Amino acid sequence: MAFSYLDANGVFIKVVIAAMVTFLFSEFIAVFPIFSNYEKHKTVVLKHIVPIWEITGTMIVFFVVELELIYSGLTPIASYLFIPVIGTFVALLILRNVAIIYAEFVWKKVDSKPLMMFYSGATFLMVIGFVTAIAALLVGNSVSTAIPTLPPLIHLNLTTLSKSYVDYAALLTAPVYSAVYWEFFIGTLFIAYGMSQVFYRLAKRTSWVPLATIIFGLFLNVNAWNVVATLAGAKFVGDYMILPVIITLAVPLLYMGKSTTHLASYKPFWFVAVTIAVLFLELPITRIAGGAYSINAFASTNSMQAANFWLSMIGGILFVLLMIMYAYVYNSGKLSFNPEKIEKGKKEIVDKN
Amino acid sequence: MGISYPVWDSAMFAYTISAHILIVAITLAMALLITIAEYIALKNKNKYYEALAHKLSIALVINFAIGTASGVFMAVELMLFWPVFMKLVGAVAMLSFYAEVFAFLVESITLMVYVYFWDNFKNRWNHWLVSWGVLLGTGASAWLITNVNAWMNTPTGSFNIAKYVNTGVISGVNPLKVFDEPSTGPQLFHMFMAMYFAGAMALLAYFAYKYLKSKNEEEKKIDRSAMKVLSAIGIVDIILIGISGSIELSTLLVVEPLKYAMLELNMTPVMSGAPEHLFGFLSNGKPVDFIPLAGIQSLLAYPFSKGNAGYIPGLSSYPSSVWAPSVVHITLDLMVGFGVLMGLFWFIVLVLKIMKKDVFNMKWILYSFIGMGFLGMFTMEDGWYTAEVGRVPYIILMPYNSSGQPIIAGHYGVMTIAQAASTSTVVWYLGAVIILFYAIIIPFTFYFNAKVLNLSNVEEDLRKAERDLNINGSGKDINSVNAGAR
Repeated sequence: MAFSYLDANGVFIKVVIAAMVTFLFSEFIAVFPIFSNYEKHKTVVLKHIVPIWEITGTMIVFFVVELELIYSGLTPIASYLFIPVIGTFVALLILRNVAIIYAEFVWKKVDSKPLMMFYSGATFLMVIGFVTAIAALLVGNSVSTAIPTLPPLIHLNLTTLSKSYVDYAALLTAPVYSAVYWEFFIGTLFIAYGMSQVFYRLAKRTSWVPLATIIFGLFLNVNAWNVVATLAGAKFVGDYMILPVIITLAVPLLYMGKSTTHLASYKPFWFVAVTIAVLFLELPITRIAGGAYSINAFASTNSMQAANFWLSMIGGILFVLLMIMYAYVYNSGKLSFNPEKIEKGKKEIVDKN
Repeated sequence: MGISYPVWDSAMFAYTISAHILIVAITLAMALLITIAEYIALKNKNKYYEALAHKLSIALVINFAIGTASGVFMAVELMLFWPVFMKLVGAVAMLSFYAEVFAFLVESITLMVYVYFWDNFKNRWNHWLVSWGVLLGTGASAWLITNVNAWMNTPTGSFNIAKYVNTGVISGVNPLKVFDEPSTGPQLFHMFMAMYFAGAMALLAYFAYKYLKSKNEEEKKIDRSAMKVLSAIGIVDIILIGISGSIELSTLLVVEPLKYAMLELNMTPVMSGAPEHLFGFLSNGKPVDFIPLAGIQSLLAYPFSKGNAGYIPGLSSYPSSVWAPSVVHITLDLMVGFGVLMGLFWFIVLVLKIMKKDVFNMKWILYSFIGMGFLGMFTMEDGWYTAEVGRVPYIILMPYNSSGQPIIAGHYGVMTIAQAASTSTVVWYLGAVIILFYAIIIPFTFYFNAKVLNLSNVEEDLRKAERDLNINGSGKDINSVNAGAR
């Protein structure tokens, strides 16, 4: 198969989305420790969130710009279709940033619990809004190719874009749509709960809770995503599902293993693993609006695709180098992929002083 | 008569940017001040500069956080308010925005490392090097965004304009051209100088105010350290603003003659002896209420020929339907006037310094510093307004040839504001949210900054600075993630 800059960029933007979703997800799952027992989990949660929350914001900008660059034709459509969702998303992003700033820097003498709960709640709603919009964009259709009897979810008027809108009521209440939506939503909550136990090391190593909740969540999610992807006109969905399922199961299983507990909750490992899992969920999606349009129909010109590709390569390398530096400094000067070694190194420095 | 979509969309976006650049200017100046302060601290083992750098770095996180949120807001706003414009930008000039994302990543990651892992560095010079990541990241972000604005003024060779204007089809795209348009260099030079100046003056105003109010001698020393660096920045920068402003106007004269003609309120094109019009505006298509300075405009534009041989464009060469509002002439004069005023002030400060006077003990100087904060910001906003409104009714101008005419006859711009604007009814509600958002967020940002800079205990800060610099043989803090935030 011949190399195409557009196809390569199509994969790249999916990597960006996957990374963004992973960053957001790592904050999203903090909702459980923050709301269940903030005082108890405060240290472990803040240790992750405090240095990372701004990078999440940057990843969101990254996604928006990359989308506008690769699929510039999609900009006016997305603009008219998703104004309310995007507006709410941005408002929540700002509010949560303000909340965390207050908690961290300004109200030092005031209990940070309500602010962190607000932050967490806002992040939770942001993720829900994002997932809802993406689901609507993928499965919503004026002309359904998969199930023609389904009611239109996206009312797309390409000649008069200002008349376009998304019928969110149908998404939440109409048959098939609503069933899939709620199934996916509940499944995600279960997976998120299990992942939060591992990521923030909340559960005991021997606990079956993370594995059990993740298995249940997967059971719901696999089915829901299968329907979503099918409605979006994707093919070979099942093949692409294998790796995400393996990764999602591997995380709690590794957590239960005596010698691998640290690895499962080791942040770089977790980030890479979840990014790969999300990426594989996205890979089969190449069409939008219920399969009515190929995403490539909205692509920018070839010369722009080529320039974007090379800039992505350079920028990608820069990003990786920066993250290595981040990990190096985070681990007090130990560049290792062995989390136990890092913990040991940190202890040595503290003991020395 | 109600407000039209283009007017509403323009007003909202103008409001957004004018608020956003306040944060940007302060962020740029803060990043510069931090790098300089930490350098002096490490070089001279000076605990006051160390404490200053540390306090400022936390304030910078706040600015960055709100700036990020505002940046996301703007990116989204561009998409929502200007869908047709963004479709063209996405296809032609987006590479600069995209490169900006990487600059932004450099800025965010290095800032996190700089602030939150302050105590994790065994060699503090390495920590100082990280501050360069923040400095270059913030600078590159501003550069890459302004690139797109320069492209909007002179989009030469980035795509087939003739085909686009006639058929709406985007073809012949050269994605790299956005980095090198005729107006890029001069516009960037002037923008950078003005932004750093405005931000530095705002910070100077804050430290001068604190210095006047504070009764704690140790705190005053920190404020004084900040004022020393900011004064030096002010003196150097105001000279560079003068030079860059002159280059910018000379470039406008050649590459944006339509805008230049309105900025200078020139009615007819001439080859020599063009007068400078001080203030005034157009009434019924004729300039009124101005003070003429004979031959000065030509002299300033072509100093080597003493103003006797050089083309000065005039509005009569273009149809009145494409003239920008003549208020831009007044705003230009205000910008130049205030610039000269600030230049004179810094000249006096420089003379006093040469005479070895302690300027920081002169109350009138300190009060003037506070005034400079407001004036610097106002002048920057005024300059930005002049540049943008000077392009009306177009959002993207047409390139012009050497005789001052558009390269495609009869088309004075590539895209009008009306063509670019969204006509979705949601923009009315979104506009209301935007007004509310910035009306709250801007005062709160300044409040956050002041609060953070005031919050910590000075003695404790200085003790930590001593430990960090190992001044009295005290060990260095090696602590947790939050050590930097304190």
